[in-house]
Amino acid sequence: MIRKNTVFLISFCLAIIFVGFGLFKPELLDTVSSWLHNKIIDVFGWWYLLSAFIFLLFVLYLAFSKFGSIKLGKDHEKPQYSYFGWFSMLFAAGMGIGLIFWGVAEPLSHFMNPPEYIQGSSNHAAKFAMKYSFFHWGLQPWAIYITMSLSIAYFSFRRDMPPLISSCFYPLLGEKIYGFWGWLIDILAVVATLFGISTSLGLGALQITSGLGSVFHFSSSYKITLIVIAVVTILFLISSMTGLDKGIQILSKTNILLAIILLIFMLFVGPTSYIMGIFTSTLADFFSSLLNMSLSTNPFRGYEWTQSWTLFYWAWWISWSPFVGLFVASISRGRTIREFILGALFVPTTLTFLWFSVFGGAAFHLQLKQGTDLATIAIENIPIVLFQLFSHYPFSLGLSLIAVLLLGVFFVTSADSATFVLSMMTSNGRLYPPAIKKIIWGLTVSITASLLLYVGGLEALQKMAIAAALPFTIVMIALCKSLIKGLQYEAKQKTQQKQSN
Amino acid sequence: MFKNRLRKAVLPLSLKEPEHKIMGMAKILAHFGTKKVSLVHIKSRTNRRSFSVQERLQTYAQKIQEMGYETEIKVNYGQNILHEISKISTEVKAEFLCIIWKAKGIFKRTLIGSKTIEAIRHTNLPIFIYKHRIALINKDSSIDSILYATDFKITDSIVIPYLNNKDITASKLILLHVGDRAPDPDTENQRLNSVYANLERLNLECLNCFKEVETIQVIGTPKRKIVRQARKNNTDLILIGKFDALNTLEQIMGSTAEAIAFKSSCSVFILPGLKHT
Repeated sequence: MIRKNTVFLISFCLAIIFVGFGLFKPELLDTVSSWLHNKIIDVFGWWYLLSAFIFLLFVLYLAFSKFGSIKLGKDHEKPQYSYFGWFSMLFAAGMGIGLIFWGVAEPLSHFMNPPEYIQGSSNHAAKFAMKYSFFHWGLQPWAIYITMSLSIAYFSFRRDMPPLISSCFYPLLGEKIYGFWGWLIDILAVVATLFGISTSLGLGALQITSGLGSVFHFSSSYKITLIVIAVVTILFLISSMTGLDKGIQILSKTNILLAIILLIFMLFVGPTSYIMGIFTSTLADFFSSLLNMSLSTNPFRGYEWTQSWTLFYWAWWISWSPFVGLFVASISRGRTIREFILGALFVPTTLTFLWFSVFGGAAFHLQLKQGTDLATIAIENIPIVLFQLFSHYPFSLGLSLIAVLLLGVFFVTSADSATFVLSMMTSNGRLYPPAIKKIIWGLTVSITASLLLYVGGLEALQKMAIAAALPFTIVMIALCKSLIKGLQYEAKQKTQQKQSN
Repeated sequence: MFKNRLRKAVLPLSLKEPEHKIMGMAKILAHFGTKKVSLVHIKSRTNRRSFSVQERLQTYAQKIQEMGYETEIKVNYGQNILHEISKISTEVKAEFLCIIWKAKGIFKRTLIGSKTIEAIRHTNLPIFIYKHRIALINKDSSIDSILYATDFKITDSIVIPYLNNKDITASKLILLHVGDRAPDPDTENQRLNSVYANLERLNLECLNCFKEVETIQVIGTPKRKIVRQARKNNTDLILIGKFDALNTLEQIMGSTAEAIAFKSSCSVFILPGLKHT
């Protein structure tokens, strides 16, 4: 019994220790996590850039290699979800919520505060801002997620192993995955997921409260944030009880429809040709300087900017990869490796580019052509800037409500899928984890977020999650090797079978 | 041992080899049942040392004759050494090629290449690469243990007849299989069962010719693990089959046989496999 629940017990204890630390010694947790986070970003920044680029090359190689035709499941299996359902869930779990917040705020923020070698608030800064917004939310984040999810999907659906990160290491570690090394990998994944989702829920609840406050004209307080967290918790627990087939899929489809409606409205009601111009030229900028952006740590100029944006993002995506990877794997059964990679790499990325072009473009139009100062608001109060943008458009109240609804539903979807993934990882990879574990993890996430929000230890926890990304890059590089070994073995077996026939 | 198939040997000499190595190798050849050794030297047209070459070859031939071998001397002119050796091998109907290993650093090997590697790549004859070991000479040049690294493929059908010979004097045969771990536990179990069954089959095939046959299976990269197992088991000779179909990476980086020839501290016998069609 204890052996079966080793990962659950150890990760749960670790969570309690960290949360307790944050509750009773928030300053100390903040000092330790800040030191660790700064040190890691400072010393290993180049490694994050390099590994993210390696993951991009790796997935592109797999997509166009002979392994591309291998199915993530048995040969006769068909995909479980339609393309629309699959893309919706991919997007919702991957980065849907982040885009709502950063779609306007990030381009404006880079525009106001670019690296030191670019003059702030200039045309050059605007061009730079759009290019880097594409970069931070584009190919690399999805390549990181794909690397993780592809390995999990291959080893669980094709090789019939439990959907755990440790399972992916069988070709390298053999039976050791059932011992210390396997536990270590899974515990690291659980802890990174727990910290990541708790901070997201806490910070997200703050942002929803701010958004609601701007629509309904009230000032946000801890009590209201607590109510938001409680409502989100009840909703995601209900959703998680209904299972993956119903809850998350319905929520994701609703969300993506709402997001597309919002996108189309802003595109056609806003400065359409200006937005499409930004989209086209930023696409060209992005692809022509992809290599440069991917590998440039800018040691001689603007390194601090790279540290606080690009490296932060890369570490954040990597720390989220166990959660998103497991979730994306669980919805991708029956697709071929090529279909999976090309679909998960280019479809969400295209939608992301469009999103940034529409919302960033609309914001730049107001800022540069009509003299409305949105950029200062973006620097001072990030959650408000989207609603400020809406206030310059017709039906602004309706748009704001749709945005709050989107935020809420994206939150419920993320928390729901995180609860599912945490329960699955701590139930030896059972695809239908027991309800009690879902409730335990759901409540743990919400209570952690609420408590740390109260004492102010939430950002410290986020920094710890980012610190956990460093060992995870090594785990992921080993994962690539393990996956290649597994695929090569299968290809060799097939060749031998053909020869013997 | 191997006497029915390894009677005639061609021994190319650049005459830079120390005499004790040549004699050490000649002693070993007795264990293969070799009767005739053709000493071959390839000269370029500009080489004017013809008298001293003949004289030295004569001296070596005489000493080898004293060990009980029949010898002959062949001196050819040509720039393409491997081509000339191959021509002579056909002419004398040689059954295998003997090469005295000369260690070369990685830079020398990369920049000016290695004749041994060229021979391994291009010759269809079995190649015996002799690595001089003091310990081996002291124990009267005997070969006590042989390690045969098998992949259970076509090379088995070539190698087993060489091993399956009643005149074999080596007391111990180690049958080694190095493979990759399967991607999941069920397939791995199937793979292991198949490996053990194949090793057992080979064991039964070779049991009559050796006092002791040991079977070992390990997981890993063949070029590393074969050398490591040979060292660990204090093997005197590594026997490997060569598969002719090299992939692009192997064509650049070298085949497993080439890597083992370089890394091993004991002598290596490479038997050519079937030509890949």
